[in-house]
Amino acid sequence: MKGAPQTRFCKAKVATTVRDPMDITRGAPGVALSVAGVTRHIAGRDVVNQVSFDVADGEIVVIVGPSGCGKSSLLRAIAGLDPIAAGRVVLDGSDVTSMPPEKRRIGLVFQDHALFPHRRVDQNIAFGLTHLDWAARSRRVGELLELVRLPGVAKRYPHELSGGEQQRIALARALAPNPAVVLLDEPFAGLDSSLRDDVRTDVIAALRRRNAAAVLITHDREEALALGDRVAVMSNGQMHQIDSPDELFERPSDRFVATFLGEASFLPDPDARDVVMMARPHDLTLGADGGYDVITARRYLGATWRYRVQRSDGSEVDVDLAGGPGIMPLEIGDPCTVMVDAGHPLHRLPA
Amino acid sequence: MVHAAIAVALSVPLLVIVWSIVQPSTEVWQELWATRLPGMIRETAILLIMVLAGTLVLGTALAWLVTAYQFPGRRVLGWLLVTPLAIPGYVLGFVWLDALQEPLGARGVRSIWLCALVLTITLYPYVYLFARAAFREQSQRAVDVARSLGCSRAMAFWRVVLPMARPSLAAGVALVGMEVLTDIGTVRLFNVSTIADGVLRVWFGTGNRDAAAEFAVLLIAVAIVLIATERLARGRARFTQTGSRAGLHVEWLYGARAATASAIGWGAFTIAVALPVSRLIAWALEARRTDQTSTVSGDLGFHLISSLQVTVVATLACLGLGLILVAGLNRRRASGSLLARLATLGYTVPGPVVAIGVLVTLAAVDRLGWLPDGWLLVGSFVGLIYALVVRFLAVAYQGMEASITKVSPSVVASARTLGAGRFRVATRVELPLAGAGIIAASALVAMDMLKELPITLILRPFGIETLPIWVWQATSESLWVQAAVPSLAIVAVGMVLVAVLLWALERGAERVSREGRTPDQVLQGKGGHDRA
Repeated sequence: MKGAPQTRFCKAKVATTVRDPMDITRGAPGVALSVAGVTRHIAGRDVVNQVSFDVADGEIVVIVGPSGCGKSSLLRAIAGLDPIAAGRVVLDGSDVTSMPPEKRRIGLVFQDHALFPHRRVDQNIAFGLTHLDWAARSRRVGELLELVRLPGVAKRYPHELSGGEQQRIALARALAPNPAVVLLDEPFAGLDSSLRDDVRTDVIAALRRRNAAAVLITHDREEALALGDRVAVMSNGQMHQIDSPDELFERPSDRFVATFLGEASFLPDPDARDVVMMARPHDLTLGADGGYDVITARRYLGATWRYRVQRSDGSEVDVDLAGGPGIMPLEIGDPCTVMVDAGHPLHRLPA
Repeated sequence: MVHAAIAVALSVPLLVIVWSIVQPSTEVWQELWATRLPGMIRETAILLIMVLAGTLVLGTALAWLVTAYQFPGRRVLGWLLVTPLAIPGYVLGFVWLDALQEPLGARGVRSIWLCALVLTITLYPYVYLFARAAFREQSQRAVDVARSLGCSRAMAFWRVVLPMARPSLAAGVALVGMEVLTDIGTVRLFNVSTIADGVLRVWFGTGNRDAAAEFAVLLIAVAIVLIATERLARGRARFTQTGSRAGLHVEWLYGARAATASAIGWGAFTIAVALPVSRLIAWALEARRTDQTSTVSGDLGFHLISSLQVTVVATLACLGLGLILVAGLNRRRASGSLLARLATLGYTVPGPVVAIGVLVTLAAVDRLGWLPDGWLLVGSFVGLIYALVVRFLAVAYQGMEASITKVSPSVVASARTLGAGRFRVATRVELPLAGAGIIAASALVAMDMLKELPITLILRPFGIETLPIWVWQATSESLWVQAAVPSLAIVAVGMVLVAVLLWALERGAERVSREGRTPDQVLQGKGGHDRA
């Protein structure tokens, strides 16, 4: 029972950080982007430290982390916009580490969409299509406008579009030259919350329809879990873990990942000193008939009440209890007993 | 009411000129048309094209050099490259004329090419200032995207950076065009007969107001074409980016490349400022030795006071009227903006035209006999200031309008809800916030007043002999040594104004970047007709 999560944790560790930078199979089938041991220094500090991961064809990898964790620096390094101190970037089987950005076949989408304000929409999309003749170019522009579901805006200027439309055009422009991978830097952060969901859906759908590999950066954990085929968590320039969203949420490799993705409390493992058990608030329940633990705060979340409980050993945990008509909430100061009620063994990670 | 009165008073002289074409055809006009006019139009066009192209290339290149690259001396050069603004074309012109007389010969030196070169060197700072503001305003993101789409660094400059700066460059070039059209001192030095020169010759040669006025209409026509072209060039496109103002990445240059960059910057400064000024100083010392430091009217002090009187009074008048117009704008948007447009028409009209228009208007008022006996507006100090305000009010107004209306409405609203009245909001919130912009505008207006020649030449009252007039009189007799003394005085005062301007621009840029506004707006003071 205890062994399984331990192995899990070790596997994740092996898969992400312990990797030889030279050990890249050139032209590995199905791998669109391969990043190995990439390190960036700015002013003597490692803003990106030995980061490695792969993106498969058609896969959307979301990198999430608090602001300043180095995720944007990583993206710029992949795009070739900033120099890297160590590591390699392999795109579609060819090593592009020493190539300038214009030779790399990368699509870029920024939060502020960075559309060229002096060019019409069609001219924006056609910007990277200089190698095509006029007819092929306008055909491609039409295709892409179709793809992002904005036919009919071709002759408008960017400032004549809404924020969401601008972002979709920015995606169309990035996709136009058929890049090996599309890099999106906080693409939805600048949008109104009312717009954001629709634009998000449209953008992801367009990427899926093109079967484009993409790396998307966000600081919003819900967005990360909702959009990524796989999600990578970064902090302080390091990549902690990269995994499918459910794996990441249920089996985080360390405390940072566990708490960054959602509320989590850590209970001591009775059997091992260097291991703790992660409990999400809904994994716990309270025995209300007295005890040595005390409720110190509570918050109404609609479907549930969330209680903060000070345990007899001094540690604090969060516990969700069902709310609703007829259920009397517990009061602050009430004595109680914290109990595990998860229906599954709690995930264990290093203390 | 007040606004309407200002607008009418300031637009009458121009309407008078336009009106003159309705009953045209004096003999002078016909004779000119048959003889010298086609040549004048041709020379004006050639000069205009050469100077516009020259300032565009030089101003943009130097602005790019100091914004995109880091090299020793970059910061200092960034400022120094603005200083040619303090040296009028007619001063730089005679210094060069003398220097090149030896190698090129007395006739060869007086060519339209050299005239264009001299005007390019003194006028490029307009393009430079606008280009620099535009480049600073751009974000690296657009360049990054362009590069990911297959552009090299150089291609990204041509396809993205430069096109996005286009409206600013056009505004700067349009200003240069107005200066070239208006110029009489420099073209006279090089024997280039432009239309403006023609207006002046008709006026002084025949004294025929109507003929001069009709001639002036030609200049207005060229000016309108110039401005219309600038407007058309913009079309529907916008050029400002939304989102982050991270600024373009600066590339560090080392070794030989850094040395080359420094050399280009210092070379431009040496040719445009350092050499001419040192030559002027040498001449001025010689003038002192040979006792040529005064004219029949008075000594240097007398002329300096004349110049300062005109500059200070006219600048204050522009600021005062500008404030009234901006206040009118705040209260009633539509009519206020129309009246302001009417009042600032003069900026699109070259100096000699304004002078003639004002003269005709003042003479008409004098004939009405409303003033006490013996009082005449023609040839009075008031008349001169009136003409200068007609011509340059736009510079002050646009600067103030841009800075004051850009004060965030929510800041004003906060002040009002905190109990501040309209007046207190203006003095405690709007003016301090707009301060840098207003100071920059004042410096630009004062610079124009200080260098102004055609209006002063035609309208100056008895007892007012400004420094430019002295330079004009000395240089028309090729007395360079005599001309050096007033020239140096103009340059000295001009440098002080350039320093004030740069200080205000930097401060404005700082504050502006804190508030998320664009530095370009501070510059709009000189962007008269840039704004729709």
